[in-house]
Amino acid sequence: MSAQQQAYLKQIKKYKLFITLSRIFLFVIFLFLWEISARFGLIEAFIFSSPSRICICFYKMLIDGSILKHAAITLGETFFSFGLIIVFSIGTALLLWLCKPLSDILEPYLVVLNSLPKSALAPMLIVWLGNNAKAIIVTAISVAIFGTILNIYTSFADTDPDKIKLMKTFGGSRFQILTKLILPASLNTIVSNMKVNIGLCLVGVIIGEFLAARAGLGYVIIYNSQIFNMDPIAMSIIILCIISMILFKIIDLIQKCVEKLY
Amino acid sequence: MKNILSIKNVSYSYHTQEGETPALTDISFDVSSGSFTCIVGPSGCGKSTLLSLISGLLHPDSGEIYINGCSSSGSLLHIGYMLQKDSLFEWRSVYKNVLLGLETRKMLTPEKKELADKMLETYGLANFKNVKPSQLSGGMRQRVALIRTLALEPDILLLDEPFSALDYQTRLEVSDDIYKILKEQNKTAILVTHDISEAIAMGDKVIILSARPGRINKIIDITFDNLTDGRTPFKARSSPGFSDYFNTIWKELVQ
Repeated sequence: MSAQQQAYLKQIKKYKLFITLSRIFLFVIFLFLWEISARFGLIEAFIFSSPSRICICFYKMLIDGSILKHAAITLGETFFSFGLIIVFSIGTALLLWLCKPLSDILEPYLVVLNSLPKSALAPMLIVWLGNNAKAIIVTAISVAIFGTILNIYTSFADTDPDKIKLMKTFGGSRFQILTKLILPASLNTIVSNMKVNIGLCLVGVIIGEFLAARAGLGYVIIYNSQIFNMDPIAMSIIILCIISMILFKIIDLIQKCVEKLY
Repeated sequence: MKNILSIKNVSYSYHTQEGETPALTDISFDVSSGSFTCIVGPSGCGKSTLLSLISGLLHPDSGEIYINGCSSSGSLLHIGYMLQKDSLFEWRSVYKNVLLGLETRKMLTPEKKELADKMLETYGLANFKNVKPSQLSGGMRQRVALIRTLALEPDILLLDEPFSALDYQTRLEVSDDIYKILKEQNKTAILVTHDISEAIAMGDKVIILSARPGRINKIIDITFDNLTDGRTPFKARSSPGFSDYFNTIWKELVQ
């Protein structure tokens, strides 16, 4: 390796280290300023909470086991609705692709439903489905499903027409075109869509829990806001941050595996 | 020689909401077995449409197409179709791409696989069998596309400007390669191109179509006296008769 190449690699390494350290520094300084200003009365700790109060609250709720229960419920609902979204949206997109008149008929409805603020649906869903996990999961599904169907269908419909023609010259049936061409060609889109969806699912679950739940992080937030108990709220938000980060990373990993296939 | 393909008074129009566009009118010609026919014409004259009609992907509004004496519906089995883009599936290895047609036609027997292996070997792609198409050069990709087509052992090969996406040097190499491959296997080929010199270099016969709606202007037989055997596109390009053919076809196209 030449000296220039070494210098170049070193420079890149240095830059990456700088970025990582800056990220950590930013986080630490934020916590530090928050704690200090709460301690010295610059902000009201009762309203704004503080890192130390959050830690204490987390410890207490960890001891009595309640926080694990709430987090597990939120996570479970998110996964469940996420799984259903994948199944339903791919299924519907397939149906739309197989039956062009159906997609032409449904298109305006899907577009309207997709741009509708889904949180507006939640209260109605709860009246219909009851004050339970079912309503929460349906809310979460409603947040993400229409956009996903549209995205996946568009990716199906955008498949290279030359490749479709090629399959036809092989005498390929519609089913063969689907399994050998359309689905593998759209796999990337489906996975990158999942990345967006997992976040949207979490949004839907929290909205649902605000309105309907007796457990879950959304419930912890809404319940404590009513009694002005800010520590569990701040803690729940931090746990949500961690959960969404982990979920995102999982999908990211899946995407990397999928990319290797290409 | 026996005619493998006969086209009789074929016409075809495209329909859109804006109106009807006649693409081909009254096309008739024969193709003899083992010959290389080139079709040239201005862009939009329906060259590619003609290939789609021969392959049976489209059906003529009027006229008949006979392959081996049978009407062309259901002719796909006899035909290999090579498109402008190689259309390799990026998620499949080279080998899996080569087998795609056989797989789709449910003809994936051990003998056919062996044939595919042998062709990859012969055409210098054996070492690339398990790599993804993205790692191949443009010329190699086009050769993989050809093997994919040949693996079906078609009677007639339809080539729809298969070299036009390649840079000039690769284009000369690949057209030489492919010409050799087709002659070795004694395949009948029909090549559509807008490149006059390519048509003369490769064709035994050049069919000149007029601007839309395409009709046959002239059919010219190409022979090079100095190349009775061992003709290659490359040698043909430097033959004495080449520029005369070029001028004749050019005049036909611009008139």
